[in-house]
Amino acid sequence: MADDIFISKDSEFQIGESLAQTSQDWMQATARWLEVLVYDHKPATGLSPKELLWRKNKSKLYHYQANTTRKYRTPILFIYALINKSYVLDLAPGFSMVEHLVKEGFDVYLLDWGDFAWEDRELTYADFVLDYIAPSVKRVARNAKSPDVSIIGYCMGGTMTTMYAALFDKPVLKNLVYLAAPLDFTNAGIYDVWLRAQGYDPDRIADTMELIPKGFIDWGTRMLNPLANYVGTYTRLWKTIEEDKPIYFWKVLNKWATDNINFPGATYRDWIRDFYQNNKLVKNQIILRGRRVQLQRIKSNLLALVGLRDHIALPHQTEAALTYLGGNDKTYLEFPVGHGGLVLGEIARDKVFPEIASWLAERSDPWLDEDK
Amino acid sequence: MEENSEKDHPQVTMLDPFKIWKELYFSTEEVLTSTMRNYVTTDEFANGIDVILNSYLQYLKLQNEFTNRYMEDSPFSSKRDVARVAELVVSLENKVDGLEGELEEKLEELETQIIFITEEIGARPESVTKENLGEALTPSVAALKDLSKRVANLEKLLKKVDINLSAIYKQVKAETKINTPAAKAQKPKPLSGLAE
Repeated sequence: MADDIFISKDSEFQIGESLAQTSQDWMQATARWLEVLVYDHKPATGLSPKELLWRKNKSKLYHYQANTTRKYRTPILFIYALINKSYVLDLAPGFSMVEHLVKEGFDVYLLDWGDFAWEDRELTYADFVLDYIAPSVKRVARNAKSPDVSIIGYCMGGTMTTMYAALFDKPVLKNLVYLAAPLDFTNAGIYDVWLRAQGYDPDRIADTMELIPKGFIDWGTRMLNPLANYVGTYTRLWKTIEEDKPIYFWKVLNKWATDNINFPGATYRDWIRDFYQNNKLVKNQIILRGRRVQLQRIKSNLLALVGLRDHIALPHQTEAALTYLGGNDKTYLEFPVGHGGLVLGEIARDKVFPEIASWLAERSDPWLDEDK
Repeated sequence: MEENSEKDHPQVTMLDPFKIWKELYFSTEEVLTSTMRNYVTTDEFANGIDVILNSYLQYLKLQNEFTNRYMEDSPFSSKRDVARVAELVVSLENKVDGLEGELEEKLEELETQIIFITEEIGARPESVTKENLGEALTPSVAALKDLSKRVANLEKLLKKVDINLSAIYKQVKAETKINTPAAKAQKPKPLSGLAE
């Protein structure tokens, strides 16, 4: 590495020429960097062909269209978090979990929450679980002509899926996949310090803001690693341009990372108070419209995937599912990635997607000719 | 001649200022990132940020209260008014959605029942043979024949009654013509047809 910082030429004149060239290259790289940040169009995302199966309020239930033959009767439903956009699961061709599973012969669905607006500020987890997730699962099972379903819950989507799974027996939830989904909030890392601080009052925030603005949520996520998120992201882009490497993936990722949504205030209050501050989920103390969420009632096959460098949902928060859920078939896998690395990037594409596909394939009913 | 002198001339080496700057910057950034991460995990940071947050919330509350009060008397609709309409639309959509769901469930139940009945019948084909059906229907056929006889007898009786009534009508008509005004006061004779 030390040799790289030296420049060796046959004459002083050539050294001068080389330095002039580097200076010109840097100017060009910087100009291109500014161009990308200011003018460049955002790349298209969520490109897998899909049809709208059902919609409610701003939420949409999509059914992905397969060009390949369907191999499995048990459909897969993706439940995403209420933060950011769900197209991270179908980010770009070749880097899409949805695309991978469709190609593997699964019947794939996704519940997209949409953009919450002022009128949604009073929506709670009870509403999301009972009025959005439950009907979606029913519709998926009906459309797929299957008595059972598999659900992949990402981040908070996994937490919400847990509440659904504990309350509903039909359609049968055959397979449950967690992608960095926090269940146990005993030790939530940095969030523990912030959200349990004396001066932090979620009721006050929810009462005053009512609809939590997307900027506030984004700020909270970025401040977990402030310099990397506010500065490092952009210097990394400059470095990529200067080294003449492709920037498409940076653009796609940056589009998703800055594309946030508002958060309903009532849900925010519950999320902080009931989950982070009081850890009610694993204590079986969550009650949705009078129905108690009891984790031991969940008998589905379980696959829990975590990123070892995840600082949003720490590995042990997801691993807790192995202890608290009631099924017998439980698998836990770790990958050397961060929170987004389970669905983004090369490790996701080469290791995570195939792992999920093969695990589900072993546990899904085959699609027979008479089912058609 | 020139080529030879170039080969004899040793290479000139110096530090590349651009590369040094790049190396220095990115390694510093790495260290700073780590330092900042450690700092944001401290209680001091959390408490400090909460002071700022709470001051902002106080300001926001005042601003909201003022705006709400102003908008209440304003001729323009506020975002709360628009949200109220949107809530109504969403609740209407919920109702339609609920109905749709119920209808789909009923149709599904109906379909299941039809499939069940069809399968039941299909599973026992001997129960619907012509002989079995004839045997099962014999009492009903006998009852129908009996009913048919009774209806025929009733028709005959009705015809007789009709004939008699026609005869009575003719008789009454004839007697009305023959009767003089003096004879009107007399008691009418009993009707022969009815006596029969």
